Amino acid sequence: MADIRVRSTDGSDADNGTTWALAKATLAGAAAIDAAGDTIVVSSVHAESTAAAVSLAWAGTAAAPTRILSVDDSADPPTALLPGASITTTGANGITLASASTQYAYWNGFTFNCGTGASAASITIQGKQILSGCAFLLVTTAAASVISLSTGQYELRNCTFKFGATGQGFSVAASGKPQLIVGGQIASGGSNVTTLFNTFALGAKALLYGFDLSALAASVDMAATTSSGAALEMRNCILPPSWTGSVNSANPGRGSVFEMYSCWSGSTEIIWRRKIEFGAGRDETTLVRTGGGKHRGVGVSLKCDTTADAEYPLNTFETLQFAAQVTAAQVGSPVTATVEILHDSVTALTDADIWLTVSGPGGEINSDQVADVFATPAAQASSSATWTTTGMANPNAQKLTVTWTPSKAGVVLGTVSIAAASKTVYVDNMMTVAP
Amino acid sequence: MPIISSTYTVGHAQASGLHYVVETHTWDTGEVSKLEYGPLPSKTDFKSIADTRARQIEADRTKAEAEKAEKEAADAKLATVIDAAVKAGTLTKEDIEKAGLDVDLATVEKAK
Repeated sequence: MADIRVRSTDGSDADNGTTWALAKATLAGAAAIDAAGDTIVVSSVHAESTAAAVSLAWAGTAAAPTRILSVDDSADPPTALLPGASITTTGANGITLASASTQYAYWNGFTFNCGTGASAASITIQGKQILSGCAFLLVTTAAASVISLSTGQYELRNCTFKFGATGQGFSVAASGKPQLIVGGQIASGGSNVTTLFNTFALGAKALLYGFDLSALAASVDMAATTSSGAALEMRNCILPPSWTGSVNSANPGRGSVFEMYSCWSGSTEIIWRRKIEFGAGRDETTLVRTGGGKHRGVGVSLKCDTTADAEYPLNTFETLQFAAQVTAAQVGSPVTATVEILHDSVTALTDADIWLTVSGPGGEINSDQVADVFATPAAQASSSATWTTTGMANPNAQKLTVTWTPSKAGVVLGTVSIAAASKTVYVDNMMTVAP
Repeated sequence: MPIISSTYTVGHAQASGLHYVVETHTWDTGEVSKLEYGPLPSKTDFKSIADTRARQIEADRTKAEAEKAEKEAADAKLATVIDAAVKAGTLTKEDIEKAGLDVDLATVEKAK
């Protein structure tokens, strides 16, 4: 495994890259000779620019990945990372990192500038890669240009992104494992895209943790897709202040889930959002149960709105997962998991309208759902719980209860499913297990 | 396929004093697109937000329909090529399975 040096200021692709004096001039020059496990050390002053598409394919394998590092070239061999190396394409020319989904590579500290003028040119990321501390800038103003999270499994860590037109955005391909963006930000000074993920392919998935998109306009939508099997999960992200957008402004397709947990818009926390084909949910802090679930000391319930297509047993809306505990003292004796609910109707919800499913620590799965499609639904139990019912004409408190005998101590997980069509239900953000 | 009406309803105040807003956009086909956003201060210009959003979701739908038409045309073209290759005997069911092509193999059987 060798180091191959690259430096555009004085390098030549005719040289062998074994010293700074013999550095290659381009990344392509290094990619032409690299072997699995090599480290490509690129001077932080490296700045290659070409009026042609750049597609970099590395020899790295699972056993011997390739590392491409922007480094301080004051030492030979280099001993310190130093961001700054850049790859630029002009005109209608894109940049592809890993030309196949099977390449293993780690990048650190690069800037990728893609396209110029109104020519369509995209940045495509593929393969099994981690790109850390890199910047991806769509310079082109063509609306069709995208930063494509293509086939492969990769992570973009603490990276910066900038777009050149409002119609641009991320495009996500289906690839099994979700594409992961951890940390990083949308840089200020670029165009405010109207939709962050403007394309989700069938089955595509993306996870964003700690990503800062506060530089975008308040109206930005996270997605606008009807694709099936797509999933977007955002946790601890920073949204634009006074955010008026949607987690998905279109109607999600079959099996798609778009959700947010603990994201911030200015000083307002978006505790929970979910949108699927059969409903949408959000956090609610006024219509809450006295003594019920809290978040940062404030009472919270989950407001769940189902669509007209919701229907038992298949077309349901699910809440986030609740967690509680079965103690060692409770093992071997019946316990009851309870979730309180509130809705505005004199007609009770039945066990075909709404139910709780519990997964016990011993692997037990139990539910208070109606027995089957031929069984006669029964009203879920009435509850004496006290709720704030501002604006409700017929507040109706009920509860979902599941009783079972746990075989082990540990964590119990519960989910509420709602099949009643065109219904709004407030679900207490807490599941209790007693006695 | 335009949106012919957009309305909004401002919800009750949350614990923060801010409000969620439900927007309802009705298309000329009678379809209704509904979404909820916020929470925001009550003095926000919700009408302007709703009007801007209507134009955006119209543009999003137009773009999605164009992309769908493009994909369907490409799929039809591919199906024609595959059909011809199967009839000529230069492509088999095994080739198609190996290539992972998204083709109805029953159709391939009929073409043989």
